[in-house]
Amino acid sequence: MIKRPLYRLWAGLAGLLAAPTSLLAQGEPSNNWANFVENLKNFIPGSMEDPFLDKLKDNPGLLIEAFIALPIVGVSAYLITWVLKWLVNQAADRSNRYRVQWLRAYPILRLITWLLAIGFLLRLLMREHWGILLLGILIVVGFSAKDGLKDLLGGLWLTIERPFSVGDRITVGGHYGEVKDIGLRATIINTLDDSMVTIPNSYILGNSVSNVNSGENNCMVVTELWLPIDVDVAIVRKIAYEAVISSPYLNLDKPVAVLVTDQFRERMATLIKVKAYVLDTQYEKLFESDVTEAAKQAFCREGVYEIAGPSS
Amino acid sequence: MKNALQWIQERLFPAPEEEELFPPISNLEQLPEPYLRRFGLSPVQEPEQVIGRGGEEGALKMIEKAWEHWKDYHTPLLLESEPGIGMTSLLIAALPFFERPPALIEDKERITSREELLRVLAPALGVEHTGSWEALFQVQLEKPQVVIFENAERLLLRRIGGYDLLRDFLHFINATKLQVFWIVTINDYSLYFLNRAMNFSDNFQAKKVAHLSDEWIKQIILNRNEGYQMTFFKPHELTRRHKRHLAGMDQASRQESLKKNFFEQLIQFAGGNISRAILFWLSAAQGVKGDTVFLKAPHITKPRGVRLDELLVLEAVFLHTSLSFEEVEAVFRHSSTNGRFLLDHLLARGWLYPRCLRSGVQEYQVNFWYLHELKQLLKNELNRNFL
Repeated sequence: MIKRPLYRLWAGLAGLLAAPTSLLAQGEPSNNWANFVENLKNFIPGSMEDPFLDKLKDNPGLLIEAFIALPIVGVSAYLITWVLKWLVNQAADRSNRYRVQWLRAYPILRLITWLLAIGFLLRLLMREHWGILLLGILIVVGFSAKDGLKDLLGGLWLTIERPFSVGDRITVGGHYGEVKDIGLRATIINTLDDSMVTIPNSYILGNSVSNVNSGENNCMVVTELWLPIDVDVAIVRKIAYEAVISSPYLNLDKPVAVLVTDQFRERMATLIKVKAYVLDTQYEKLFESDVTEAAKQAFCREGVYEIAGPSS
Repeated sequence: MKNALQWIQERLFPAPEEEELFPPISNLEQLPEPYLRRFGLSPVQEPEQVIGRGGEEGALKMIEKAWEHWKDYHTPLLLESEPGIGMTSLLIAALPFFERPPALIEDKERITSREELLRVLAPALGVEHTGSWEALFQVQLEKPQVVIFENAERLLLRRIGGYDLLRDFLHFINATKLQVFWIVTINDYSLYFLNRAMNFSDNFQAKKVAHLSDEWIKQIILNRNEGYQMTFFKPHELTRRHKRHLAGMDQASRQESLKKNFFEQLIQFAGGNISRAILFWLSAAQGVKGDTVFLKAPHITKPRGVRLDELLVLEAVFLHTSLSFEEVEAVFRHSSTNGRFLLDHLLARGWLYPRCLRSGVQEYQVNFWYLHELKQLLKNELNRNFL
């Protein structure tokens, strides 16, 4: 037995599609409309006792309103999200300190806007039958085996669950970069070589995601410095520490660690790992490069190793 | 037309050992020399001239307590403050506390080697300069000595190897602290950095010298202006309501209202920093006629934004209080063209102003006019949590 709200939804959707055709085809829509609704009542099992279709028969304007409102509400919601995005970007540009927080807010604002728009349309369609909204969502869940709906559901899930947010630096499917947008269908990340990679949300849900900054505007950067095995550790450690502490890109409020290990793989080597936080994730590679450059110059100056000249 | 900076250099500070230059202020040429001298940025020379630092909670009491503390525990004192709030004047006011006159090392030259540091420290301790660092470590003084070392950040250069001198200095302080009450002063931003780089303040009883209160800022300015009447012009920005309000007043009431408005703006701009208050006053002074100075609150505009590389240079200059071009090069490992270009650009836009040291080296210092704006930028753009 089909539940009452469910056939109301079906009836509403069928009516919504049929009403304009019916109106355009017939000069006097009222009789045809009444016949159409009567047929619909016979067609949908269990609908005979429900007063909703009777109301619809008496007042076809209910569906016409919804039909006109659909594009208006859709376009309005789109414009609102566009303005919200512009405002959020403005706020993020004004204060680098709170950039990530602002960017994180946008997907939620957008979701709220679209939910309100859809809610408004459904309310218009179903008038006071709010239970239908819930069932509509259940139907979407039922159909989510389809890829598009899986992506849509994934987008909603990412917005609510927030394993990462806009502005975070993530690795997914072998791509590392800053999350630029979490759409309802796909997530866009900007990789370090400035490529925009679009990843379907269903793929993200089904795979592991590594997030390096989790909503913070700074992240840890590990700089590896490879040195000969016979170096004076005290000297190289001091150089490595001063290289990182002198970098203008260092986040001064987070700890700095210099770790020394010996490696015996293809060649014997001393590996210095400098772990420190960059002041802003967008300067991650600049920071790494700055520390490497400064340390390398100092290693050469101190005779830790020599740079071989061009062979003649 | 003579550059305002050159004008000040020649007339305000004739043949000085070290020039304290004002950032560019266009109307300085309108002011007579005796009046300008009252508003110099140099520290006061007599302890009794220092006001606003007394009281139980005042900075002078803080130094006195630290001195008493040293007698029992031999902990050196570190005083941090924002540049321009009158640290040297405060130290001059504290001189009478001590039984023997302290040695004041207020040289603002950057010290770049152990030998230079030795040359500065040996006379301060009253010992002969032997050129030996080890000998100075073994020094035995007949009586306890007080040594004030200003601007410790001039021992630092933020690069690999640029911290060694500061470490030597700390070792020396620790080696001699039983015989010497060290008072070390430092720029607050330098301390923020050094605490994270090398836990600098762990070696001291560290105290922050507070900004001057609004009332004292006003009082100091009025004291310097003593003997001159003030006539206030309408400021650049005047609301319609204020204009209507002024129109309905007689001359005396109007002046009183403008004065109140003027000092509100001055105090807001100064933010407790007397150097900024003085700059505001000089920018406001339109001229002097007889014993009357004419004042019009300057139009305060926000500085144009800076790019990341410019902001990093500004941060470095602020961190060291001042830097020469060569030092900026050393800190950033720039190509010479790029470093020069950045400094020139910041100089032209008023973020920096040049100061010439006794050694003839040209250094660049952050313009006090934009000091607070720079601090905000460092906080907002570089996420420096020091405010």
